[in-house]
Amino acid sequence: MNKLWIALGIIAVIVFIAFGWYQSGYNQMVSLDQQVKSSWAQVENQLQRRFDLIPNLVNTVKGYAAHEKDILEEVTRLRSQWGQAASIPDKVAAANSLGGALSRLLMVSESYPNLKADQNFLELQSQLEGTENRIAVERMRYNQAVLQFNTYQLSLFGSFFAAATHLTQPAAYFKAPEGAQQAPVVKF
Amino acid sequence: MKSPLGLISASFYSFLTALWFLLIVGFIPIANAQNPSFPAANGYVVDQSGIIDSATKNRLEGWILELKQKTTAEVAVVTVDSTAPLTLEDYAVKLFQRFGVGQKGKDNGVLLLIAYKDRHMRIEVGYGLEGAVTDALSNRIINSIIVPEFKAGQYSQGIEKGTAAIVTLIAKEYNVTLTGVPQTDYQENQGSSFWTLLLILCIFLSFALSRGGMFLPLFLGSGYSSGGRGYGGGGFSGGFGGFGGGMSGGGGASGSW
Repeated sequence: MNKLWIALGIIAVIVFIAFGWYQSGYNQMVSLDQQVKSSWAQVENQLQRRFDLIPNLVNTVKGYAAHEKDILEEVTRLRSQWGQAASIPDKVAAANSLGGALSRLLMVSESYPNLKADQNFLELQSQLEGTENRIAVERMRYNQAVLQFNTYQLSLFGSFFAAATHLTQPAAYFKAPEGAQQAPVVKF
Repeated sequence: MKSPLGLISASFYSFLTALWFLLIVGFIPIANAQNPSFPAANGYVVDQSGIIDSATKNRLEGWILELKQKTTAEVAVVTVDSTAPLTLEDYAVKLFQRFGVGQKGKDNGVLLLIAYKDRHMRIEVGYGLEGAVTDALSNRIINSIIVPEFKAGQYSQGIEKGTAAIVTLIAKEYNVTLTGVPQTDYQENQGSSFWTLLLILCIFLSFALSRGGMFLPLFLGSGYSSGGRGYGGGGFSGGFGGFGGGMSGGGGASGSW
């Protein structure tokens, strides 16, 4: 009789431990997922900031370098593309090409001394630089969150909890643009 | 012959041991990537390069302590020889998070980072102060206050004036005055109009407000807890009690001399 109680006690302890284990694993999965989502929201916040700066920038550049139509139109087109992108991979792709076009636009601006002396342009340029740095920071944090999420998802018990929480899709990284290392080509 | 219950409990014991083992192995946290060398947060002023004289250092510590007592905001002044292998910006945001400059949740901290041998510097602004210490103002503090002094080899003076400008901006944001902090003298180009500045301030402020506090607990609650911890150093070096666990997101400006 005594042994029965011991056995029952052990079972109770195991159930308790198993429940604690299940709960912590489940919650870990959910919180990693939320972390990915909130970091992505931060990335979008900064991308939105860039998005909002563009019309002003384009107008300012237009005032001095109206015949750089190609790059100005490209920036405007890519901006609206970003506005339409819905999924995260689409947004990443749109943001990367927009970033590339913007850096080309700033390169082109280098050859217009009057533009470079314009107070408004300088202000916009420094705001854009600040925004790009913030995007880089939030992108880094987002990628860290994705790394943690994806690693846990593939880990020994993580895959079990991924199934339990229906979070079986790996999160998408925000990869830096392909041509980021290449200097932009400036055509005259 | 052993009783069946005895057998069951024995096998449960071994199962339990195995379970414990699995629990421990299964929850070893993902190892963090190897960090470059960061200084220890043993004061508001961490002068690893040894370019700040001790009288100046004490004055700066005093201002920052007063600022913290009146506003809860924190300023860290750090000199290192180099930020390699990281870029200045990357190093600044990581150091900021490591120290936890500013209060957790409020993120009201500013880091003035000097990479002495790289000849670069950065003002990194916490999320909560991006409205008070804007990128444009950070840029002006660097280029019209600190850089001229550094070019003349006056490192202590440059850092002192730069820190004075930073604490003054923060004090103004919180509507308090600090004792003994000299007036900020932006050497040139006061020309950029008041309205432009106001407009920028509004944009930053609305951004800072719209950012909402809801993301932070999530950051701090899980993966970032190691970053947001701050250092509970205790009351040494003139009342430095550790940083509060604030975060930054790349706001501020960089410069070189």
